[in-house]
Amino acid sequence: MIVFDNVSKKYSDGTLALEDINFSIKGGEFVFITGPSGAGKTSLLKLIIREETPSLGEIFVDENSITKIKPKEVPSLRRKIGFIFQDFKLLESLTVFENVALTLEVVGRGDKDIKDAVGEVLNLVGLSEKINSFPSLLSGGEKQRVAIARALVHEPKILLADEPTGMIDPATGWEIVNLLEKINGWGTTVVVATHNLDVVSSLNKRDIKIEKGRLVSGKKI
Amino acid sequence: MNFKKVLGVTLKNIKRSGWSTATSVIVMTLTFFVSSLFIISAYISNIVLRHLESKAQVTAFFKDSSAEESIISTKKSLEETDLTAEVVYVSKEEALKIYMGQHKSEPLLLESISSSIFPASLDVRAKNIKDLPILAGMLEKVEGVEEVVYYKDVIATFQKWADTVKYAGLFLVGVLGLISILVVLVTISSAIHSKKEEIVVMRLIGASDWHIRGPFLAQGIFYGVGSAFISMVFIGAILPFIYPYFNNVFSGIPIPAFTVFTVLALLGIELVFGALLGAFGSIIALRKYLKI
Ligand SMILES: Nc1ncnc2c1ncn2[C@@H]1O[C@H](COP(=O)(O)OP(=O)(O)OP(=O)(O)O)[C@@H](O)[C@H]1O
Ligand SMILES: [Mg+2]
Repeated sequence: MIVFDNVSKKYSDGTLALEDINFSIKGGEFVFITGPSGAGKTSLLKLIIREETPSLGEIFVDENSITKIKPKEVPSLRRKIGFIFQDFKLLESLTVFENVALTLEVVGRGDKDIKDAVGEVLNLVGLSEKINSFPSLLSGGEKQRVAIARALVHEPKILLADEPTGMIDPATGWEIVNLLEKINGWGTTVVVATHNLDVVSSLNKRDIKIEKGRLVSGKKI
Repeated sequence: MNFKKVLGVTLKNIKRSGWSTATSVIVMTLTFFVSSLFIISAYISNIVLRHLESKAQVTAFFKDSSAEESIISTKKSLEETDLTAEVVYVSKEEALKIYMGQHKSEPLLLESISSSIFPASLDVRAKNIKDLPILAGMLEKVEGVEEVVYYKDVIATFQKWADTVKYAGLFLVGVLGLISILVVLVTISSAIHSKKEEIVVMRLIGASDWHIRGPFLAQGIFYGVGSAFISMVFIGAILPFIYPYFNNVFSGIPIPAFTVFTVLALLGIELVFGALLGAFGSIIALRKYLKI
């Protein structure tokens, strides 16, 4: 489903963020990517949606190499992936509804469809009553849930979550983790990058550990 | 993304662009208004010119002493030059008839007139009006010719005037067109700029190029088409005043009135040009600021 084959990423300023990374994640799996701050977790996830391209090596998503695809093919790759960004990337000028609806507009769904699906997903993340609020009025945890809703609303095959419990108190954090597990239970491949080791140890899932851009463990399928 | 959605996003962007929208529309409306005026005046001067050309002839009046045979032979030799479209011999009697036809309502005047006071003449029309002076020169040298008259100067003057209007018009329209494109370019660029963050996010969640570009392109086209339309409303309003003005200036020359069809044709052409102009401005802005 997701395969990294000898992948290295060196940024243009010379930072070697990832070096010689090899692993594969099967369809339907729930995997953690852990490591200290600056280890390269976000960089790794960005490579999967081709926000960044690897300097060396090859990456496969659904058996297709995404390293050599044309720019024109990038949107369809991104549409099958839901991405919960570490910094949320919510649009301040749009309401919660509009932010979440954006994902569906991009895939070309009709108005009625969008209204139903957004209502449903906001219900799932427990934000129904904030549907018409603007992000600037939301708490950190609420923003995080909007980001999750936006990543989920189109029912992607793959969900990438970058530090999804970062801004949340432990109790709410657990709710989010349960939610991610539930989504995984529906057949979605879930990849969670985090340095919250409590969460990791409580769930008996595979943990791909990276440190200073190198794979430490978790390579095996 | 369907048409309704693009339209919705476009209208939102247009509203958000506020003053830039106003500037774009004003400048483009002016461009189309001026273009329309020049198209109309080019159309009218073309009609006037054709009329003058059709009337363009050299007339050689012959002395009373000239024999009909020698006039006829002059006619033949002119026809052999290949420069003439038509040479008509008007005898003294025919000239009288023509005169009588023009003054039917004045019997007193006609009573006292006989064919002897009218000179016989040759009316010569050239294939190309540029050859009129040559023909006039030839006629002046013919034995028995009293006077040679032709309209060359009127036509040349009018042609010059029409050309000046045409070139000045083309230049002005060109400059205004360029300014229009620039204004749209600036407006769309700033619209793109103000939505930078949104564009980045839309890209990351998988929006296609055209999903992102569409509304900006539509915005430019909307300015162009809207301006063309507004300018035609103004033209429609002043047309009833222009027409009598030209008719008065060129009295005696039949200028066909503008029909609904001509106005609609002009509107159609300008709408197309509006769309092209707006699209062109938008595309430059998109190429500059939305590179992948
Ligand atoms: N665009 C960039 N250009 C240059 N260097 C970068 C860029 N993005 C990240 N880096 C560097 O790459 C390394 C890995 O960063 P990354 O964001 O992947 O770490 P992370 O594991 O997600 O950290 P955190 O847990 O703090 O989010 C860091 O040293 C970072 O400074
Ligand atoms: Mg990170």
